[in-house]
Amino acid sequence: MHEIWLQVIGYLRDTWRYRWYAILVTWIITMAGWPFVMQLPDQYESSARIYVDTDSLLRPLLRGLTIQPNIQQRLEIMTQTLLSRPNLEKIARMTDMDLSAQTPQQMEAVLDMLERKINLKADPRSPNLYTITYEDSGPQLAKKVVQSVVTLFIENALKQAHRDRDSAYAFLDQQIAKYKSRIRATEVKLLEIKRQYKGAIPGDIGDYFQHLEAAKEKLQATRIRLSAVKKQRDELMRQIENRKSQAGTKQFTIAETGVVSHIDNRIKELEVKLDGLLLRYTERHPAVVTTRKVLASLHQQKQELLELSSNSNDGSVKAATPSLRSHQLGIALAAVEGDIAFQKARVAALEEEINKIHTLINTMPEVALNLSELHRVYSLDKQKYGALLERRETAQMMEEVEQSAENIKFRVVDPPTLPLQPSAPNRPLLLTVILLAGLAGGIGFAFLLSQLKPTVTTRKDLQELTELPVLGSVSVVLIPGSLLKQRLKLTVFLLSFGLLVAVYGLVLSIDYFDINMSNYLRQIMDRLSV
Amino acid sequence: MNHIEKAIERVRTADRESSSPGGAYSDPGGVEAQNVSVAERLNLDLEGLRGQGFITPDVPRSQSAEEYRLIKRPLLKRALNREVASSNERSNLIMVTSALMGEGKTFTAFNLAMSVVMEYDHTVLLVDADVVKPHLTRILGLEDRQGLVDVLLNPELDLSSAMIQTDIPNLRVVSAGQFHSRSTELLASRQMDRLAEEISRRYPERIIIFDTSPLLATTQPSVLTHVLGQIVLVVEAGHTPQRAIKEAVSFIDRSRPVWMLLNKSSGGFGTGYGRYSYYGYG
Repeated sequence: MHEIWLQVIGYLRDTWRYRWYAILVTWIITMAGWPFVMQLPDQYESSARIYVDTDSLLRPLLRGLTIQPNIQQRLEIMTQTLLSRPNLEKIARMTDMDLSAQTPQQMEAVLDMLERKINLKADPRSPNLYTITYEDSGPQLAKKVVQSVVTLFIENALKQAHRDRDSAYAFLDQQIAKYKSRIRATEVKLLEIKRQYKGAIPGDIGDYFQHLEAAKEKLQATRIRLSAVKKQRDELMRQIENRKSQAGTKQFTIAETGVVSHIDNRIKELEVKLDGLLLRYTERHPAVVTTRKVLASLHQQKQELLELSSNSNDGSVKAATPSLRSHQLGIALAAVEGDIAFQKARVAALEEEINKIHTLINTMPEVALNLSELHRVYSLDKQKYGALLERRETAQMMEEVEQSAENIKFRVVDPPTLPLQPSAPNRPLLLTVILLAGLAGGIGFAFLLSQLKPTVTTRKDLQELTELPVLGSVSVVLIPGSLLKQRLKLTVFLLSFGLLVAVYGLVLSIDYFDINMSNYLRQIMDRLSV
Repeated sequence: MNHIEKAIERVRTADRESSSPGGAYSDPGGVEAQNVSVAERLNLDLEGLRGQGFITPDVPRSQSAEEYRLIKRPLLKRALNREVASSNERSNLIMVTSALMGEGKTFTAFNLAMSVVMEYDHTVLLVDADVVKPHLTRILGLEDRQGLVDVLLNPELDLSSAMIQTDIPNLRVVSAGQFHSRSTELLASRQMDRLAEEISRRYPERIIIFDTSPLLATTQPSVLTHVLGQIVLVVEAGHTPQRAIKEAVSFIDRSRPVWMLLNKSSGGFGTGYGRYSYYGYG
């Protein structure tokens, strides 16, 4: 610590050696700086505050769909669009600033200056409040610029809002179209599936099993029936065989059997029936026609039988001599055979059906899942679609409402101010800064000089420098003359320093009391010349 | 400076009037074996000298005096210690020099001489070997006297004839001598070497202090460093550039013992004994 202290003291002493250079430098800096600061032109700042509600146009559209954009981002976007070249040119024209520029380069310079100096700020607490400021040496011009910026700003914001709204609508429409096509596609798919599994889509597996059971039962019944009918046929075949074998031993005459009489009976019956019909209808009536046909056939049958019996007196024609019973049996057999065929067909059909149901049951889960998935998507899409449509409708309605109502979206909260007092430069601050800079510069310069030509201050330094033994150090002996001289020099030094501070105070007061130096001087000159 | 010069001038004229012009000089306290020519006595204006910052016997306890008390010890030890210093070393010849002008060689040389004289029972011979700017000669007002240069020029002349007694016992002074165009060469010549050898041998108990030119001003002082016994390099605190110091050191014959002395230092906290105003012991 002590070492550091000693070193610091050493530096101070070294710097003190060059104090006259220091004070000189300080004077130079301040004498150059202060007049410069004093003659800086005053800057006047005009500002305006506007309230721009761009949300009102977008709110109904985007409610719940978007998040509020970052205020800072929005401000940046607005600033960028506001201060684009075409806009700046407009501002320059509106404020007649373009009159001062004759060449394109000068115009460029004017536009650059505008771009730099126009300041757009957003109030962090209220997102739609913006402050526009502009600083210039002429208060009127500042106000004009701010005014034009405000106008441009409002135009721009409106345009921007409309653009946003249109794009939001476009977005909605696009979404609606999308969902519509999705719904269509889903419906097509559903139809496709329905077609594929037509009839077999109750949708529920339980149904299928019931179906299956029913089919199986039917199949069972049919099989039983089939076997019964088959037995019947077998019986009949047996009887026919019996008859055939018995046909040689037994001769039946037509007269023995009641077959003829049977036919006769039938003929009688029909004749009675026919009479009855003819009482009511004409010959052309279908019932009449049918009855006559049947009668005719019956007569024929009778005739045939009679012929046959007359021929069957010869016992050799056994096999080709079917009796009425055989004939009956034959008919029955034919009927039964037909029945068998029918039942077989039914069995086959039922079996096929059962197989189909089995395969269906196997593939059912997959299909069912697909189907339920499709249904779900479908319902969701429909929901969404519905919501979008609704939103669009609502938005349109609300927009009309808002446009018709006297809602003010733009409000100039503070009109552009005409500044009376200069806002810049901050002279006291600058003056002080220059003073401090001067001091620092002086001290720094002196320090620099001292470091450029280092000397030896203590025994230790000398020892370290030369690596030779030091006999000792002899203090400065102040002879009376030199003491006085030294004191004098110190006084002069302090005086000059004091003078510096006094001038500083003087300049500060000039600024404070707003003394217009040039006027004052002119007055003095006039007085003197008079 | 004017003050003291006037005083000394007064004294000298008074002396001159009293003594015989160009006569033999008498040296009451000299221990010369040969042809002793005693220089006329120089009366020192102690007050004037004190006013210039030199130490004087009448104020033995000033701060400067205390400082020199410490400073001279190693020099004396070296000079008078028979075991350390062999006869070749000429360690009783002390050269006081510096890197640049104005660092305080004359001041140091004189004060050293005074300090030794005040305390030790030694004789001190103070020689102004700065033939370029003989400051010491001027302070003591010895411009017209025969001095070192004359002795070197004229082999007939013995140094003792150039020695001037002062009113302080044991303190003798030799001035630089007449100005000569070849003074610097003379000092660098073999004659100087021989003279130094002779003095060293003749007066082994005597401390002979040489006030020389700055090392960086001419080449002659660096030659002297070969010739004389001990070298004291005076450095002005806060003034002499370090570069110059190093350069000066490089010119010194390192076979000799070299001592550094920091002059005009303003102390610093903790480096000194504490400052007490000179006038406090006035």
